[in-house]
Amino acid sequence: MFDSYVFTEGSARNITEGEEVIGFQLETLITYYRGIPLSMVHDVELVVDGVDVPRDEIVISPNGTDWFTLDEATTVTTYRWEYGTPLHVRRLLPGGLPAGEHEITLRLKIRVAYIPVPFGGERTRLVTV
Amino acid sequence: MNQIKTAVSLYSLQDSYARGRMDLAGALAFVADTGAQGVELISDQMITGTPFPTDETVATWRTALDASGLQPVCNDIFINSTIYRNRTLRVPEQVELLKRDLDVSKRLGFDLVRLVSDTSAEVTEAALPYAEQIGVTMALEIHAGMSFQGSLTREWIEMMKRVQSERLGLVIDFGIFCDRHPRISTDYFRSIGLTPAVADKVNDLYEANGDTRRIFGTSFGHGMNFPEELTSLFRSPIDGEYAFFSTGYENTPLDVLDEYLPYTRHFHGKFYEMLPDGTEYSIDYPTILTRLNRLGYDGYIASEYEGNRFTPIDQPVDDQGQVRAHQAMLAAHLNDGK
Repeated sequence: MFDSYVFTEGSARNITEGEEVIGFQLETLITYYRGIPLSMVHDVELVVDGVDVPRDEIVISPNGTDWFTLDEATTVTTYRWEYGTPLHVRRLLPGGLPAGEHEITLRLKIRVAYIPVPFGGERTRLVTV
Repeated sequence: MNQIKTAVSLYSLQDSYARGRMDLAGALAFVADTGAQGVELISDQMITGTPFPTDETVATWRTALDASGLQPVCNDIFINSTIYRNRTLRVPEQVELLKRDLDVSKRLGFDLVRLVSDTSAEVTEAALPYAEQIGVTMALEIHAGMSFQGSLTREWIEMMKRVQSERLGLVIDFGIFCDRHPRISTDYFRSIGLTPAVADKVNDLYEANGDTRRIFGTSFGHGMNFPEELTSLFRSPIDGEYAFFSTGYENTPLDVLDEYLPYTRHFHGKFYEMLPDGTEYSIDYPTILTRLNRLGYDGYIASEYEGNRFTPIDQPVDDQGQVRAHQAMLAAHLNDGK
């Protein structure tokens, strides 16, 4: 349904803060047709080279500036994830992804009032760092 | 003489907008160019910062709207009752969210809002004095899968009939008039692994029973009460998902229009696939337009393209071409039955 919007092509990269590579991140559009408060993001999952990323190593940002853990995001009703605007998904990982090719899967679920179960999409891409 | 008018819902152009083929001003100019006289908005979709957009954002919308010459027909709103993972918002909390969306709709120039199916009658009635005060009509969407037979819709309609306010009404979505199951849905599910025998069986059941909601559905509306002759064919989770999805279309007799047109403020001209011969694959527009003209309808029908989500992954979405074709069909049949 909305898989085409998941995991924007070319968006995955390592992130440097000061001198240090602190993790990697990627972007996704929403698997829906309107913007929502960030708290309605029900779940975000990452799989890297066949291994599930621990939930507490994932942080998300609706604007690229302010970041929230997934637990924190459950109460974030004051920031919106706007339609047509990427959500930034980051894995905190000292050193980031090692150089080379990686298979990354992003799964996304959101929770809306009139659809009985959370729904979303997923996408796997081969990424070269 | 009554005259039906046409609009385009910007829902139709969601892919063009999300992928940057069009900005909001471009979308409005496109809608005007199709020949439509009005526009329907989803403020959550294209008005940044909803329900509290800045004055500048509102002014930008109004400038583009004025430049397009389009009438602001309807704004589609939602009540985010699931903002918290661990609980559903209580009635007074939902009323406050609804009032905010009435406010933003008014600021954007609309005096009609579409309430999404399953909006509670209690919440709506509690917000009604405010809607009357600011002059905004709240109309519940009658949507396939949750239409007249659905329990929440029935409750809402009972409330509407009891209260009798000019500020309450209905928006009927043409997806309740699907003579055929949309084949683009079948093609999409086939592209992700639908078992062909399941596709055929659902199609047969839809034809034989009028639609599949009647046999799979619950008191709420859509459902998963699949008969054994269907489940015996299931080979993957996609099969059940497809069968469930098929209950999101209905083939309702047009006679419902006789009863409900007096309450109807607006129509969603739902369409799935415009064919090269200028007809819609699932919905018989000329027959519906004939009935509406005989009943004297003189409001809007807004094109609402539903093909986006059924486009196989990474294939281009021809939303603009489909909307143009739909507007051309409406124009060709607008006076049928007169």
